[in-house]
Amino acid sequence: MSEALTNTLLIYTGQVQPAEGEKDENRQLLSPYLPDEALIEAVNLAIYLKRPLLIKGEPGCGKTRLARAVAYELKLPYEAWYIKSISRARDGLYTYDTIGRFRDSQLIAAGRLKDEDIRRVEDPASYVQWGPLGRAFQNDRRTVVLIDEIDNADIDFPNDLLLELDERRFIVEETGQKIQVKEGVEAIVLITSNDEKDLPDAFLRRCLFHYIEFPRRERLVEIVKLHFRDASEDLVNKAVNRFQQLRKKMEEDKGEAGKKVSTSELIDWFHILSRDSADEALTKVDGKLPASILLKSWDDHIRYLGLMYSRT
Amino acid sequence: MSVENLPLQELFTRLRKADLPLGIEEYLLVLHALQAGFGISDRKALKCLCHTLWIKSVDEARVFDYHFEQLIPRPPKSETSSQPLAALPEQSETQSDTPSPLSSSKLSTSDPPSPTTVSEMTLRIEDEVQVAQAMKQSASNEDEILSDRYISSDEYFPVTRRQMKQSWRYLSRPVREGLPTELDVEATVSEVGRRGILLEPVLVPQRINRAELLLLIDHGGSMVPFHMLSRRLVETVLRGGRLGKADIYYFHNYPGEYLYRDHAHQEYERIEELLNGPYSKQACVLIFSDAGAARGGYSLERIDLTEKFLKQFKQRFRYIAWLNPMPRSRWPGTTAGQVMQSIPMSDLSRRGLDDAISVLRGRPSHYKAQIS
Repeated sequence: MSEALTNTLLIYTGQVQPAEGEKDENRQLLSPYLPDEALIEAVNLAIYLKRPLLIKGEPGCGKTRLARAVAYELKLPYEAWYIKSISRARDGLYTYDTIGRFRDSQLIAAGRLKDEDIRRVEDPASYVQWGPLGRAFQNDRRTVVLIDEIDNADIDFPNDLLLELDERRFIVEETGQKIQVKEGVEAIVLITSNDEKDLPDAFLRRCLFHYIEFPRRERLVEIVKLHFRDASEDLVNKAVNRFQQLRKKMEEDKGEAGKKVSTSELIDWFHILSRDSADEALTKVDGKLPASILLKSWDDHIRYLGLMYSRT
Repeated sequence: MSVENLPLQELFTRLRKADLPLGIEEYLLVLHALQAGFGISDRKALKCLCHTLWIKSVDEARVFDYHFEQLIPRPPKSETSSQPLAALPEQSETQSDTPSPLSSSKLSTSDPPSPTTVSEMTLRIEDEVQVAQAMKQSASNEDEILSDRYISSDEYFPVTRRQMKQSWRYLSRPVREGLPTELDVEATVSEVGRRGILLEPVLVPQRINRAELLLLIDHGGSMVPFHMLSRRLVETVLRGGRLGKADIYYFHNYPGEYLYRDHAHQEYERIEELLNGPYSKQACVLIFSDAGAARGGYSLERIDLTEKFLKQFKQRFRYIAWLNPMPRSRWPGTTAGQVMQSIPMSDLSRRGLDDAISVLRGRPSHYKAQIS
């Protein structure tokens, strides 16, 4: 990338990591995040071209956590919108409390409200509650918006967001208020999908796309080291080896489609290991696998538990 | 490799031909990004850039890689001055042939792509070629059919995945069901009118699609060349995400006493049981079979058995349609020609698929009018 850009624009490098124990504004522990180069490039393209970035990858490879990491490094506000099967596109922009307004007007009719309440009721804007996208659109700074698991929602959901993502404006229909993003503070939208449903073409056309590959060995070691800064080299190597053995075996058996152990499970496992003293951990890493962390279906349990144990 | 001389437009055109959903805007986007300094450092970076901007799924990535390898020449290995080394380690599938020194400006289509991508591509197109061959063979005695679009065009499949998905979306029967989450304004207002004050809003469940589909697929024998097509049908039905319920059953030539849940005929279900199964009368039945048109035979036995089976199904289900992978011109004089008298039959083209689906929605077939 040319040097001239760095001066004027936001560039994500993936280098800046939170210090151990650092917390975000919601008192949630921040954890380090180690993206690969292709992902960094994709994020920077999304920032520069002001397009949403759609991220896919197997479960546990860090799709969701990317947005937080980007917001942290660039010191930008962060909004998360977790999609559920009943989510509607408008919920992300705003919700209008029609029922509340109706109730209040009934109360006025019954003469039960004071004057200052009546003033509030008369203003239709007081019933608007902004959603994550709605807040991001009105923010004076570029905001990182995470739209998590967009494929959970109805198949038409992404299409309903086209105009908002494309032209970065929307209208609050109840009040007629127009919301338009100011030039230069366009939200950085990161969207994750678990590939449960196919997304509509019109939506895909507007997104940039990146598939997060499973990290290679060196990267896994780096990731573990970053999460557990005082872990011994030996332990990290052994754990990663053991983990990769298991994963390889799963790959052979299940092929592309099945659920395999992934990065997040490695970190969980290592978390358990690092509780013990160094010597104990070293013996444990060769011993029985903690089934509740790595083997999450009964089939896996039967198949790999015995196998991994007898091999060592 | 200078930016001006990249055969980007050619790459773009080829990808469009390969049915990637790209528009001129996507093309401009890449130019825009290149101007801003993205993806200009080396070949790998350019590939990465195009990937991010043009590719939307892992499948598309394969198509892209193939065309990219063909169009954008790899930097000659001896030359180290202008090409950064970063481009090299990525090529783990080392080319066996030594690349001839290429002038970077030349649009070299002769550059042999790496062996892995070729085999991947042939795997992908093998089935399509099979379809074409099957049609060619069966039509070889009639020359006029050779000029049919199935053979002359480079898009061998008459219906693409995207078009299938789009067509399935028309198959819907919205019903309110589930937890009440939506406000019924009319009912609420009339409730207020009745009681004089709002006590509780009236909520109704959301609309969901309750369309049920039974897809019966002829598998094996003369249908072998169309297995890829039937797989696509199944794939798009299940992943379209729209239907309330979709069940796939397989049979061979005509359904006898049993239908099978898998194409290897491992798990069977008696037709009687199926007919007593938990389907509503409005469930749709779509049969995918050549009805003997692929081999061109005329079998009274097959006609009898097919019609017996159709009669059974018609008593149970209101909407039945037949999708025939062979072109319409191949039906007359074969078993298919007879079967189409008793059921709306469409060929597997965009129009045919839409027609079959509109039959399943209870509308008359376009084709039926043509016959009578």
